[in-house]
This record gives sequence, C-alpha cells and structure tokens, in this order.
Amino acid sequence: MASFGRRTFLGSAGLLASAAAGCRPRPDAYSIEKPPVPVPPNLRVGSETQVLSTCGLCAAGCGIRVRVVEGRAVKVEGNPNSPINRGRLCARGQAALELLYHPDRVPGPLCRAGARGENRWLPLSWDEAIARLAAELGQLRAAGEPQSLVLLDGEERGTTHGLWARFLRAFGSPNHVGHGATGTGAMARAMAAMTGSASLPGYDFENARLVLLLGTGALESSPQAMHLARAVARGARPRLVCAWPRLPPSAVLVDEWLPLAPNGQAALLLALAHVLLRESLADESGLRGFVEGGSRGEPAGFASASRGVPSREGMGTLSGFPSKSNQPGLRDRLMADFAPAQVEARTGVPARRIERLARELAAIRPSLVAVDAATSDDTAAAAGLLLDALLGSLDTAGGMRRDGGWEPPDWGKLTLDATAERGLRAGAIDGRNPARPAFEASRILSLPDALLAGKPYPAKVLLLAYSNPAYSKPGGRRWLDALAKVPLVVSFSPLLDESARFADLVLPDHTFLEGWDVIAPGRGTRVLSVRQPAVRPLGNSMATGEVVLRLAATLGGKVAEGLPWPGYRAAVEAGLANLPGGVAKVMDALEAEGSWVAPPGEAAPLESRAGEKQGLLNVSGVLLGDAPAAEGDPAIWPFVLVPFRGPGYAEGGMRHLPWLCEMPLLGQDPWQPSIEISPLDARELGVADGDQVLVESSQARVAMPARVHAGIRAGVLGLPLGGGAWPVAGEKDNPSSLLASLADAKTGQWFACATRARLRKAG
Amino acid sequence: MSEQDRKGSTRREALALTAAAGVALAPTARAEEKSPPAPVTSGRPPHRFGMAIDLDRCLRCQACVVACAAENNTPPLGRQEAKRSRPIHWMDMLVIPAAGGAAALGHGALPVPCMHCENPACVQVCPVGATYRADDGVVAQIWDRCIGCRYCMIACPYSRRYYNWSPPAWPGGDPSSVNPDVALRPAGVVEKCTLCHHRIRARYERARLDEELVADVDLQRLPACAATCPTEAITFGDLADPRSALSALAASPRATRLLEHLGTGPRIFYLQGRR
Repeated sequence: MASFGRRTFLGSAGLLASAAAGCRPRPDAYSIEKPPVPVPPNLRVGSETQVLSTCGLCAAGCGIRVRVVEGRAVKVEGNPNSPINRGRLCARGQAALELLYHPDRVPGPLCRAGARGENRWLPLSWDEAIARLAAELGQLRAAGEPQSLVLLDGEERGTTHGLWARFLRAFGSPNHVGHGATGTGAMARAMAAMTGSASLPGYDFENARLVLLLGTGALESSPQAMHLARAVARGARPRLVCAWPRLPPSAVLVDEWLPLAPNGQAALLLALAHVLLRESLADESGLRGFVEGGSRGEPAGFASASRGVPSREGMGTLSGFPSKSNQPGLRDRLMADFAPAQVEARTGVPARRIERLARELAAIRPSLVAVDAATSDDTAAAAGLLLDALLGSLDTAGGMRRDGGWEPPDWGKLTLDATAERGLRAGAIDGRNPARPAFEASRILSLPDALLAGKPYPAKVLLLAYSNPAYSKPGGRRWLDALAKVPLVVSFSPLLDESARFADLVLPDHTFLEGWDVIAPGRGTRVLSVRQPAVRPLGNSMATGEVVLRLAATLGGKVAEGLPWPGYRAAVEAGLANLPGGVAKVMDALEAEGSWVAPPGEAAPLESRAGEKQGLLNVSGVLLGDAPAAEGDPAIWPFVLVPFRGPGYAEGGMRHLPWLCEMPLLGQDPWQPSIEISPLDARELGVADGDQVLVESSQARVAMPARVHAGIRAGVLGLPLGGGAWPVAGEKDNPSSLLASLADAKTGQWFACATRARLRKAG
Repeated sequence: MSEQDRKGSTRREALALTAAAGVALAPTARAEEKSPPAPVTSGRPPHRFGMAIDLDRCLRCQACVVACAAENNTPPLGRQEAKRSRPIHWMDMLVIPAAGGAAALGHGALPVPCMHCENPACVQVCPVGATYRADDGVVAQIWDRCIGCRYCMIACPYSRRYYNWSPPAWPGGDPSSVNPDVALRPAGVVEKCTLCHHRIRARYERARLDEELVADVDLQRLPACAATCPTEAITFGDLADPRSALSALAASPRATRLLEHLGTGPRIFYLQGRR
C-alpha cells in the first residue's frame, strides 16, 4: 500500500497510456486542458483584493466593496465608509455580478448586418465606429441642420450626462431628452420652481417622528428605500402612514395604510394643507417669505389638464397678502375647494381621517410628507413641498432636505459657432416649453409622435444612452415604429435590448463594475462616491463619456474646443475643480475611502438660491388641480392600473438578472410577473391566487398569473414593472406594454396611474 | 478508460455497501447519541452559533436571499425548474398563505435559513453520516458524502434542505463569479445553509494568526445575509457567550422559535412585537 500510492499508480498509468498511444509523454501528468474558471492573463494565482466602488443599478449611489479573486469579481458587499448605505446592500446590488458576466453582453462595437431588428451584426473597431458616427454627425452640421440629432439620455446627472449636454449645445442640437417625464421630472420641476434647487428632495427619515408617504418607492425600489432602511437600522423608525392604492410586501413597516384612489394624490395633500390653515396648525411664521412667483420670470408650467389655468398674477400668497387681481389666491382656492369633505370622493379617504391626519402631522413634529418622485404628477409634487413648508420641515432635521456641497460640473463658458446657434434656435423636437428648454422639461412621451410625423422637423440621428424606450416606456409599440423612421439609430447599451436590436450601430458602454467615474448621489446627501473598475473590461467596451469626447475631437472646430479634455477622467476632475479643498484632496479621499462627504455649511440658504426676493417657496408655481380621471369608460374598463417597481427593479427591467427573477416572494411562478388584484375583485371574478388571467387595456393584452393581494384597493390592479422575457421577446410578454402614454398637456408629465384595464380568467 | 470504469464501479459498490450498513446501524447510532458527547476542548472554547431575525425590522426586500446565493454559489435554475419549485434558497422567504388582514401588511412572509437545531432531525436520519452537527453548533454537510437519498429533506420539519436536480450551471456557462471559498455541489446531492461556515472559520483563523480574540462585534454581521441586510435585522453570534448581542436577543421576551414544541431546539430566533 505504502510503496504503491495513488499518485504513483496514476502516474504510471498516464505514462503507459501515452506510450500506448505512441505520443510524446505529457509534460505534466496533472495538467488539465483549461482551468475550470477563466483566469485573466498576468494575474497571480491566489491574489485577492477588495475594490471600493459605487453601485450603478439605481440612482441611490450606494458604496460597494467588490471582492476580486484572481481578476474575477466574486462578491459585492456594501462599503462601510459610504454614508448612504453604511456597508449594506439591497438585492439588486447583490445581483450585480450577473450583469457583469451576462452572456448577452455586447462584445464590442457592432454594425447592423441584416434588417432592423433581425439581430445580425458585423463587428467593427472603435476607430471605425467613432469615425462613422462622426461622419454622419458632421454631415448634419454641414447641411445646417444640427437640430436633427436627438439624444435620449437615461441619466439625470453626473459627468457623462453633463458632457452630453455640453456636446449637444456645442453641436447645435436642442434635443437632449430625458426620462423625467415618466419619472422624477415633476419633482425636479417643483424643486426648481419652489426652492431654486436643482436637486431632488431627500427625506430625513432618521430624525422624523411621523412620515406621510405618497407612493411606495421608499418601501420598495426607489433610491429613498435605502435611506428609510438605514433609519430603521438605527432604531429610529418614524411612524409611517402610507397613502397609496397599493401596499408592497415590505409594508410591514407601515403603521397605517390609507387606500388612496389612483388619482387622489394632489387632492389629499391639498386637503391636508386646507386643514392646517383652517385650524391655524401651520407654521405660518416660516412662510412669511412667500412671494408671488410672477416677479421671477416664467416658472415651470405647473398645470393640470383638467382645470383652467388662472393667471399667474392672481395666485395670491399663502401668508395672507391680498392678491393683485380679482381672481382668488392660492389660500382662497385651498379654503374654497379643498375641504376634506369635498375631496372625500376623489381621494377615497374619509374626511375625518384627513382632518385627524393633518392634526397628527401638526402635533407629532418633526413630521414630513414624502411624495414618491417616480410616480407623482406636477401638482402632487408641488403640493408635497408646500405641505413640508407648512409643517416647517424644509431643510431641517427630520424634514425634507436639499443637496448641498456639490454643484453640477462647471466647465466654463462655451462658445458656439453660427451653425450651433441656428440649430439651437430651432427649438426642441419634443414640444417642451420654449421658455424653459431645460433638460428637466423634456417630454419623452411626445417623442414617438414627433419622430413618426417628422414634425417640427425630421430626426436624422437618434442616440440611445441608458435608454430602452421600446421596452420600458408606455406605448412601447409606437416606439419601435418611431425608431424605424429614423435613418440612424445608435445605442450605447452593454446588452442587446429591444431598442438596441433596432439600432444601426451599437457602441457598448462598460457595466458599472468596469468603468471609472465619480458619482454624486444627491437626494439630500452631501456625498461624492467613486466608481473604480473592479475588473478589466471583459469585452471591447468603452465608457460613453469617452466616446463623447472622441466624437467631439473628430468633429473638430468649436465642438472640439468646447470639450477639450484628453480623457474622461480629466473631464471629471475639471468639473470638480471648485470643490472645497481642491480636487486632488477629494480624489485622494475618494480612492482611499470610496466616498467623500462635503464639509457642513456649504449649502446656500433657501432664500438666496430661490431668487433676489426673500422667496422661500415660489408658490405661484403650484396650480390647484388634479390628475385627470383615468381615460376610458369605466363600464368597459372597470380597473385602473397602478404600476409599481418591485424590490428587484432595475432600470430597463430586472428580467436579465436571473437571481432577481428567482426571488421567492415574487409569486408562484417567480419568473413571470403577476398582476395583483384585491380579494374583493378576485372573488367577484372567480379568480384564485395563481390563476392565469388576461389583462387588457387600450394598448395591449397580456396573459399573466393573478396574485390575490389584500394590500390593494378594490378597482385597482397592481402592475409590476421591469418584468417580461429575456432574451428579448415581443411585447406580448411585457406587462408595461399595457400602459398608455397619457400625459399632462402642460408639462408632458406622464400620469402613471391613469390607464384603465379589464381582467378575465384565461380560457 | 477501462480503469476509470473500474474505479467508478468500485465506488458505487462501496457506496451501496455503506448505505446498507448505515441503514442497518442507524438505531445503534441513535442510541449512542442519547448520551451527550463530551464537550470539545481542543484548545478553543466551544461555540453555539446562532442567529436572530427581527421581523419588525425586516423589509422582506430579499437582499439576504440574493446575497446568500452569490456567496454560496447557488446559481439560478431558470424558469422551468422554478415552476417545479426546485430553486435553491438556503436563505428563503417563506410565504405564509394569506390569513385575513394580516397579509395586507406584509406579515405573510419571513426569512428562513437552516435552523441549526440543537437536536437536528436531519442528522439522525442520514444513513451515511454526510450531515452532522459540528462542535460549534453548525449543522454542516459534507457534499461528497451525500448519496442523495433525501431522507433529511423529509425529516427536516422546516424544509430547509434542497436537492440538486441538475449540475450547477451559470448563465451562459460562465462561472467567473464563483466564490472560491465555497465548494460547488454536483447533481444528486442535498445542500443547505452552513451559516457561512467558511466566513466563521476565516475570521477565527485570522484572529489566531493575529493572536487576538474574536469579539462579538466581529461576529454580528458575519454571514452574507447578515452582512447585507439593509435594516440590520439579522444578528449573528455565539449563544455560548452570555455577553453576546445574540444571547441578549434570544433571552428577550420578543423572541420565539419555529416549531419549538418538536424538541428540535432551533437556534434561529425570531423577534416580533413592539417593546
């Protein structure tokens, strides 16, 4: 036994076998053809590092720490240094490696070989790809029509977003279109008009004692969810009242649920304001500075489709100043039209409950009202801020907080050439308010019509950055038609999604685990967070910011002069030059800790940001109205769809990350999203939990399993976003294809909860 | 070639023999277990690792579920297998059928890892000794020794064991993200939560090399599920240490355990009810 061990036996057997086969002896009897896992070249066996970076699967900007073994990223953990998540991470962040090692990653720049949507491609080099795109763009400028370049940009802030904005200006295109109109746009406009801040609000859940949540984002997938979770972790949980038609499973935290009618958001908030004013419970001393916004130029067009627009001068002020004209002021309108009894039917909340809630908000301070930015319309967003002001909860502990310490990158003045000026004068293609052409005012929902009609002018080149409109936007089918109408479509997606398949060029971006960037998460925080490559890019991808710079350099002239940086990192550092302490110090801190917090006291007070007058809140921006009642005849379409983003929602869907698709709480068939229905409606229709049902709206018909859910209001169906088939299939499998693209006529903001539908048991 | 065949058949025969012997010997083995084994005093104090899960904090966000899968190399199985209820979740969300209004407020689900019982039913039925209670209290399993008879799955009153119906496969066949600290399980074996035993071992090994003691704060968020929990609802620790945070939580009037009356002695404590 001892003299003839297993090794000797195997070795002699190997020798015998090779001798018998007549080959040379193998150099190493233990060699295997290839290692079980691919090992990148030039890596020491057994080497292990931790890379500090920032998650990119939502806008929260949680710090992460990636464990890298022999060049492979094997686990993502939270970065304990990050003040956002303090070492913790949600399900999405945990599934990030599936995005990095996704089998459908685009290997490198691709050029369409077959018909559009056929998914046949020819690879090309980056030099060729950029030269080709630059040539097409150069032709637009040579023809004097730079405005026919349209960019759909899924990022709302950050350096790449800033570079795109600057590139488009220098190029001469006014068409920087964001997704805000189907998301946070209303809140961004409300913040800009009422507080002068370019940020989205953050909420100090940790110090608040009572929170009214309008919407469930903070309980599920919005960037606010981590803020609320961290407050719970510190044992400082506020009393939570949630007013929304549907509650998610995480509603275990919610102390009280008000099953709000789908379009009752603004009415409820304004009725609360009514009670606060009527019973003198509001902190009116804090409102002394309220001014009429008419003095500050054109405010964002807060308007409602259902009510007329009173003249701006007639809005009056909350602090009781008489209005300038005979029209009733804001306070008068609140007192006249928004008594709790008057809105009872619209909100579905009993008048007494509204009164009691208003008194609770006044009595249990600090209290705050958090309107979910992703699902609010303009009036609700503005009314939420107004309530926070009445409660004395603006920029206070336990209240709503603006960002501080970080401004969007300032790269200095941009000189435009004549072509660019002419292009910019043409006005945006999406029909946004020409008086306020800012990115926040862009109207993504009118884009398909504009592209299809070629009006006001035809689009020649459409760029899709962080955008998959054919899948994720309401009215998805029209998007495919619209894409077909544009001569050149370019996608920057790292995966071949629905829209990328219709593109002519695919210029793949890195995933967030391969690129370098500096992120400002915002939402009331004062944090910068670094993104560092955990692994080398797996394929031949390139950061989109880098592509923008190379495009500008190839185009030459004033465009190249406006974006002179040699690389993306240089552009990021130039944009951060104004930071306190200098960019070098901040960079050192970022590389060592992963995140950096701006020193306190840098944020400008509300007054000075809002304008020359001591305007605290530009209330004239608020228009008293309501989202319109859902479209369609309730007799035919008895249900209203309330879309929601579940805990695994990532922009563009979670369907490509199998770990998230297989989470146990998603229903009986976790891979297929299920429609939520109240027990009452289910009984009436004879639908049991797990039954296949057909859901039909004016847009599409989708078969999906039903989920009987006690946390949903009767007459409402909970529609999960982000589900559907991967790899890409037709719209039949995509639940979001049910949603109609109904928008506020004044602002272009999508009414998320206004699509009617019907449901029956499948055959 | 022929040699391999021979080896394979030998192994199979040996396994069959062991299995038969295991079944035959089982009553004897059980009788022996009645007298508690002598405390392990191999230079280190005995541990009794366990966990507390605060249901009033738990958001049901399922971050623990995905973190566990990523740490312990449990790849997703895909839609077909999911329909057959075969996905493997060492840390699972147990859906409790809706009972009246309680489900509305989300009480219908709770996170359930292996209970790491003091008196584990699975260990008693295993015919081959593949699963055992380690001296630190972790109910562990030697994957290579498992014969896939699934007795343990039937014995476990908490259904915390999973059978591998297929070999591990990653999306697109790229296993780059596997954690090198955790062995892959082949098809045909049963697997379960190990309380991230590899992390515990690594932590104690580092302490030994640094010649220091492992403090309770080093343990509290050690397993992958506890490390990621956004609300810090999961607390890991040593019940043998009376000063640990876990011991305090376990003694709290808010603490309950699942199916306590069965006498399994689960060491996962659920905390519920406001103070």
